Amino acid sequence: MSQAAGVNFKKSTIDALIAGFLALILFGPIVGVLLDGYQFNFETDRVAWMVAIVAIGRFAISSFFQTEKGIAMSFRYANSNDGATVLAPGHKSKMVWIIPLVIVIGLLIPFIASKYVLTVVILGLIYVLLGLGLNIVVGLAGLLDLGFVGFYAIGAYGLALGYENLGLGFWSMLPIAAILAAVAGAILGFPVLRMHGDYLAIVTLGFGEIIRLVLTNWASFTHGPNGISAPLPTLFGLEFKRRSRDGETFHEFFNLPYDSAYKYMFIYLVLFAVVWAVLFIKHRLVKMPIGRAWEALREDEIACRSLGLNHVLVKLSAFMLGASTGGLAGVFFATYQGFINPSSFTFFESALILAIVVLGGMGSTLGVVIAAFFLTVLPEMLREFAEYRVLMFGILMVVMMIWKPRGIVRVTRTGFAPKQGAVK
Amino acid sequence: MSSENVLTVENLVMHFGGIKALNDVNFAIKRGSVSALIGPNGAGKTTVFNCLTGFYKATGGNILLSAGGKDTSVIKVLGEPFQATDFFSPVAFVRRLKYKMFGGSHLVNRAGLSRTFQNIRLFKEMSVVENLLVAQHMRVNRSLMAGILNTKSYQKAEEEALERVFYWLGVVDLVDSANRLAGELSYGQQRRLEIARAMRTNPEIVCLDEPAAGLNPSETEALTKMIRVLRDEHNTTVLLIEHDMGMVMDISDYIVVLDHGEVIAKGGPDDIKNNPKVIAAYLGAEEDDEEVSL
Repeated sequence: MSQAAGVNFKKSTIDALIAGFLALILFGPIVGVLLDGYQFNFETDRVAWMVAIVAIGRFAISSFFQTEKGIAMSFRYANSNDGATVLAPGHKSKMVWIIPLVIVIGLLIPFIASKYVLTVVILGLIYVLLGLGLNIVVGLAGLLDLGFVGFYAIGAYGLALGYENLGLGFWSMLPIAAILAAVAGAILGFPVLRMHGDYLAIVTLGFGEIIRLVLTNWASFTHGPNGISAPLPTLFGLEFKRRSRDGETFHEFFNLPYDSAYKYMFIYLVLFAVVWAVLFIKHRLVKMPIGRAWEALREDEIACRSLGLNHVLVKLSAFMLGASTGGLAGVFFATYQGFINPSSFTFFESALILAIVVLGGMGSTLGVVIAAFFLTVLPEMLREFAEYRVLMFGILMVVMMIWKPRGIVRVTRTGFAPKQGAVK
Repeated sequence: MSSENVLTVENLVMHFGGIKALNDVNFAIKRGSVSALIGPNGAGKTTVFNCLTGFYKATGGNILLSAGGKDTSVIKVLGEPFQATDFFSPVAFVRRLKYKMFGGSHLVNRAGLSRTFQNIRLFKEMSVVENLLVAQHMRVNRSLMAGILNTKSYQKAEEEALERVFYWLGVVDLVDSANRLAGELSYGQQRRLEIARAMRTNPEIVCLDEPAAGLNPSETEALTKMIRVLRDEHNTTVLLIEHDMGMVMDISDYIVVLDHGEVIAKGGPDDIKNNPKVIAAYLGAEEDDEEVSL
């Protein structure tokens, strides 16, 4: 820190030369040699540009990290491996400004974006819900759940089967599916709560597979691998179809030309509202006694029991709340796809949701939201590399584990202002 | 009996497979006393603690905790096996089923007994304040709706909980570290925090498992003072396991000496000091034990 005042330009120049030389080796053959039929041409100017950019960039970075600001920054990141940080009491989060901005942008998206972009964003939001649900179970309560997709499937099939057998639409199934998934979470949870870590992971993995196999093989009820269609949401009884069997449709009522994008807009807006509601509830939960109990359970179960916390109920509540969020996501998935079959609910989905939670940072809400979008939107943008998706996924995980083992966003804890103590 | 003794242990037996860790342990702890459980390494002190606090289900015997105006059988709340008579009496069946499904050591704590651990078990990634807030779980407003809507009564309950937290941080001298992570604290601070956390559940009897282990003499002295505060100002009975004989003899009113899973002596500090059986157990009459701290 003592030599922070001056920048050693000699060192920066050497760094820049080394980086430039490496860039030359790397880009020389790749960019510089251009095949033209059976012969090849050397394109030196392109290589020169690239090497120059790399060298200048390296010079800038090297100089920056010798300034006081740079040293402070690298120091901060070097220490980023330790866990949570406690915020100062009365800390004002920058989120106060970001959240309204995101809400405004989010509300504008359906009217600006194309139908394709909208569907991608809907998928992203569905995974945000899933990530938030699993984050309660894995991130907060520390229960490794590899069968989370089971609850997702229960939500999705709840909507489709509820419509087919009982005539229940989207709006009535939305809460019912959440409750159904929560009940399934309790049924799964109760017998396995005495297990820890790896054993719990295996049992939950089995649970996810059981759900999928039941959906595949109970053909008389679920239509098996043929799948089943799911209803669209309605706006006060107005349907989003081209023409309706009973009553008016949305575009007829508002005298608009029919556009299939309307239904996605509507789903998006409902989903957007639900995601914010879940985010809010999640935000409150971590500050509430139940959230503290979950985290305490993750830290040390035996200590929890010694403090009078009923570990069975604490774990069950985490399982149920997480599962109900998964169920909500399932309802949206079904209505957005319009058709579901068991192949949407494979183990790969569970792994993806778990990856969202791990990448985002266990227990961090913001991290999960970012990671959910990252992992769902990125594969859409990289359609050309679709075959290498899982490979890139794996590489990403390895890189993350080396670079930021605690996830993208570090968990922060609320600080409490000291006050006068009192016994009551 | 129950009014005078806060904890009565009768014929306590604990077997791990073929190993008989405890054979017929009997003692009673008087309300408002500081009692110590001592003995050479491997005598079964921590096993007794784990039975008392419900972490082990005792093989036999009876542990009666009379706190909070009622008697609790520690072994019963852990969930006993079904007996033939239960199938004829639905009430007994339901009660047993309830304890089997939802019973456990947390009920022992709720009945008024709390403990600390030999190897400190704090919630390391949570702040000091949060550690103490978790301990008040049973006393705050746990309603989901009230918390999500942030109602007045919820805010008031949280506020009161925080006030109690800062009171206890004052008692254990940790106010300055209130917003640090529990895992970052020094060893002595962690010990004190764990005691404060155990006290935060409002127990009538607190069991401290080697509270002075790893502390230097001045910290031990501060701890001794603190234990007296617990007893005198908070009407808490203290039962502790300790190897530091100086401290044990200093603060205990009553000492139970265990060796090979049996009580070999009990009484006041002076009786114990001169008891030939105890000296033999510690200094080794026929076998050699390293523990020479009398």
